[in-house]
Amino acid sequence: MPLWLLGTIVVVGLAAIWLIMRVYGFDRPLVLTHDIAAEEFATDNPGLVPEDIHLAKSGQSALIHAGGSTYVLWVMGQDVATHNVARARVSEADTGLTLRLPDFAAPRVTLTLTEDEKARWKPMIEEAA
Amino acid sequence: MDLSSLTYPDVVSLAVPFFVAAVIFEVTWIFVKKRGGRYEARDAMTSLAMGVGNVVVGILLGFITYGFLMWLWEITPLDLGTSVWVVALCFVLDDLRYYWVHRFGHRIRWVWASHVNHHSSQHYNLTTALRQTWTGTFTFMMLLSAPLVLLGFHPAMILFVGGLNLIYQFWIHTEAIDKMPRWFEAVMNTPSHHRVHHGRNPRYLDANYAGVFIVWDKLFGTFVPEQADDRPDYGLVHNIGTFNPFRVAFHEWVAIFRDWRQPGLTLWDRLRYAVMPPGWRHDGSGGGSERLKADYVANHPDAAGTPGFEDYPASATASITTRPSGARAQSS
Repeated sequence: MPLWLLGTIVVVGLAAIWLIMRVYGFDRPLVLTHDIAAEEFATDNPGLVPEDIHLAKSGQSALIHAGGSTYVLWVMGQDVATHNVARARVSEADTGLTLRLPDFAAPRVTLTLTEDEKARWKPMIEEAA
Repeated sequence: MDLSSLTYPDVVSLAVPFFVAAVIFEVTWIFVKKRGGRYEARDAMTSLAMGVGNVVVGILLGFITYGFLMWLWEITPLDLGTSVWVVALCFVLDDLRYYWVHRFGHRIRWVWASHVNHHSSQHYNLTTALRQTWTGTFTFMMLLSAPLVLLGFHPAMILFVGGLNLIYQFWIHTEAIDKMPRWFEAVMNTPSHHRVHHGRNPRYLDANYAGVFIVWDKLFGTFVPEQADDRPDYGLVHNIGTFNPFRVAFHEWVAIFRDWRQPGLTLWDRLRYAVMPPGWRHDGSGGGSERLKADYVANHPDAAGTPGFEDYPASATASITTRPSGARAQSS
């Protein structure tokens, strides 16, 4: 197959797939509850049991204490990622807090938080970092 | 026979329109039926970008593998020709090669660094099949094709049947098909068998490496059937936190180099960070698949001896009380 034809099929095909997923609503993010956050955290961190969960009002992130450490859990599409906040750098963002993590596979996350949450979460993260 | 100019069609490129149509069909099926799997836009686009990158890398670096195989072809005295039966035999033996490359891909971290991206989606649909490596050339797994060339199979034929193997594996990346007929499930790799391979449940770690014929797993003791009461949960044991294709492609390589840079390691330790199974740590704190399975059985004694836990007695004691701080543990 000529390269130009292959390229055209790929570009048009990917655009069509993206559009269809948007139309079907497959770009809607997961909204966390305490139970979902607890279950997802335990699954992603075998051997750890969440002891204390601070769930953001946005339902898009949670701060979790487990096994003597503090972890952040955030929504990625319909799923989640979790990370120990040790050695994280935290800074304020317009919508909440931005965490820069020392991990090439999870380098940065901006958490959507209310002003109250921002004020409570920042020292907790800084203390754990 | 002069086979210096032997060519076969580039079947993977020819299959691209089919791949696109099949993805559109599957995503529509799931939307209409409200079952048969899950799609997430950014996850799917990341998978597709990885697929495109894999093709581009193949165009740029494919000459290395082909050049190596052609060099072997020049020195081998054997030539099996190009009959249909030889192509069929080549397909079967190449699938055996695939089994071992794939098994090494999960048990040797250097190879896992290339393969990990295929398991980095938390979804299991047709786009996951296209989430292919960009760094396969650097694993040197082309060495496992050497016996085929030395036996007299032409390199063009080997790459041709390898393309057919890849195309076969496309359709098994789906939750829309439950089980195939019993005779088919017994011999061939199927959506059910491959869902197990992508599962991060302890039961399913390091299982079902087959490409086309599931018989290799049954032969070499790595077969685990899908359990109705333990549905596969997809992704890595500890999932990555990015949709960026470049980070998906290179994150485990970066992790290896970071481990190498730790102070105070012996040369032997540095080597083992590359060749031991994923999750291995020089201080014994790692959470590889054996430890995850043992811990699961220690916490769920009823699971001892069931599929995936045949070698794990109920008397084992859980060893992970806190998550290891090092590299990400083994995946599916």
